[in-house]
Amino acid sequence: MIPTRIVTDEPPYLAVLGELQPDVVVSTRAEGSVVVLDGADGWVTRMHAAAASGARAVVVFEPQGVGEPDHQALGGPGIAVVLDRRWLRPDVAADASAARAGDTVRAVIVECAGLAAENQALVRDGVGWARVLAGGRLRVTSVGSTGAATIVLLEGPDALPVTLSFSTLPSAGAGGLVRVSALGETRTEVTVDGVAGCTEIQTATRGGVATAAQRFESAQRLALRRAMAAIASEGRSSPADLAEYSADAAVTAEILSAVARGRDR
Amino acid sequence: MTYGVGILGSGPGVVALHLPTLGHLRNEFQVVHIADGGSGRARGLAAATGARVSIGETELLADTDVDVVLVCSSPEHHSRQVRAAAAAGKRAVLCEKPLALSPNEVREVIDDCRASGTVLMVGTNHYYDPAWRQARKHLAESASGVQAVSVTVAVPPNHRYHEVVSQQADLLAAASAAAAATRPPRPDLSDPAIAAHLVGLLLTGLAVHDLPALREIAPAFERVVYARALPPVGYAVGYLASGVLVQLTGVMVPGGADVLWRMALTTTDERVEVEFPPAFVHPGGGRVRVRGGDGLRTEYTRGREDGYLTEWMALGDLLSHPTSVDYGALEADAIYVMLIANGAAEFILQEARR
Repeated sequence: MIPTRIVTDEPPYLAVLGELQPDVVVSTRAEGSVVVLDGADGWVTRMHAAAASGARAVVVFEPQGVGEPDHQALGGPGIAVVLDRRWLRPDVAADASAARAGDTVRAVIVECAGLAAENQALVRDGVGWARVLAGGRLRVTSVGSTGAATIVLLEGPDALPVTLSFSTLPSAGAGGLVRVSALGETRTEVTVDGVAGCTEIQTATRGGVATAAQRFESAQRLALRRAMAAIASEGRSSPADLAEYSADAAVTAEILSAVARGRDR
Repeated sequence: MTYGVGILGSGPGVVALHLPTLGHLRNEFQVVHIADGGSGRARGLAAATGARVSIGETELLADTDVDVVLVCSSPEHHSRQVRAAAAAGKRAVLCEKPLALSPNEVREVIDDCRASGTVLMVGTNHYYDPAWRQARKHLAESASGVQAVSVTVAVPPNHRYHEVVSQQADLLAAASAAAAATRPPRPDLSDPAIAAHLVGLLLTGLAVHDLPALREIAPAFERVVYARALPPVGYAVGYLASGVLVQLTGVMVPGGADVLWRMALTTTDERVEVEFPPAFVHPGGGRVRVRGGDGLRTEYTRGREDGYLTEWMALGDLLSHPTSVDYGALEADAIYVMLIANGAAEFILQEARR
């Protein structure tokens, strides 16, 4: 049996290796491995470098925002790329979508609050939640900001209304919160609160409110499993994480750019 | 003391809201007179209460047993009827929203009530809900400034709530049909004029329940950030007031999940959520939950009474102390609603002209 090699020195990833199949081993050689990158500045460049070194898949741990040159470079490293986003887990997002059973969404409301340093990632993941529940890409139509808080009106597919707000919490020890509601005959309520250590998905229908089963698997184990599954599929099943991140990052950049210009649009 | 109540109107708000609510407050209020506009529904309602019946407002206002006039007629009659009640020397008026349809009308109503010493209250029940009182107290004690407010509303048709507070099925059906006949079944939201009109109506008729509370947080209206109508019937409006950004999103859904009516206030330290119960029913007050910036979650004990009961109880208190009526606040509330509604409607029309 050929072992699955993981290149990582990220403690949360090292911690979960024992939860994977016994042939998973730590390696320092990118070639033929799953390479875990920290998501600090420059991760796009390092992702391409890993691909060039022969990595079979890359996992990016909490990717930060990317500037315009890196954004252009997001496409096509030619290998599977899995993004471990703090407030947007793909399995939880899939649970929320599946529980709606295809029922019409009539509006999506996203509310985020967190430290200034978290704002970009918070908004990006909030936008990602809206994209998931709206069923497609978003377009920014209006932005209003006071600096401390910002409100945004967006449109999803078929002009679906989406609103987003984010507020900066200046207190030390504060942590990010994403709250999402998808309104309709079936209503979805999402709470992702990393500091409180809780992720909740509730689905309300005429019959009552159902709470999704908690996902006990760590985000890091999930990310590694997805990367290994993509490798095993030999290209037949490739994660859409980069394309989704790219779409969410573009919307976020547009919002933050409007805020930075200090005027409504 | 028990105050005699005269009711102008016989719509669903009377059948399923105020009559059942007043049934909980029999020691304080007794319905003595009901007047409709000629529909005949007042007679059916009076049969259950023993009240006198008339058409129009003249007989009711001349009825000396009527201390309190409850105005539940169509909005275009409100200001005239409130002023007539004040002129007739009635002790109090509880007017369903809106109080009037223009700033001038508002000022005339307020001036008349102030001059005659008539106690005036506008039926915006969330302001009186113990949950809002608790949230307000929490915000005052925490002394952290509110940065943004988001009010999210999703309401299915009312009949499921009517049915659990009233067995007057025929009257409810007739009242609901009459109310529905005044509304277009499916407004063409692609027409900016229709969309603007609809958003204005929904802000003055639905979002208005929260606006007196929001005015306490963000009193000085500055500008609309965005506004649009939502299909099938709804609104999304963002505005800035006193440096606070406010988002109002509401949609009337054809069925499905129970009402969601949530006001979320984000301060510099925490998020305070107030979740109000559905209209018409009496399950107790709303829920107040606080999420601290450090993740600590707190939920306050729910009040035993809902906003409708406490609204009438507050009216009772004002009747005992009529000098404590804040006419200036009533006027400011009404003008605030109009500024937002008119601003949103104008925003939609301007966007369409671009």
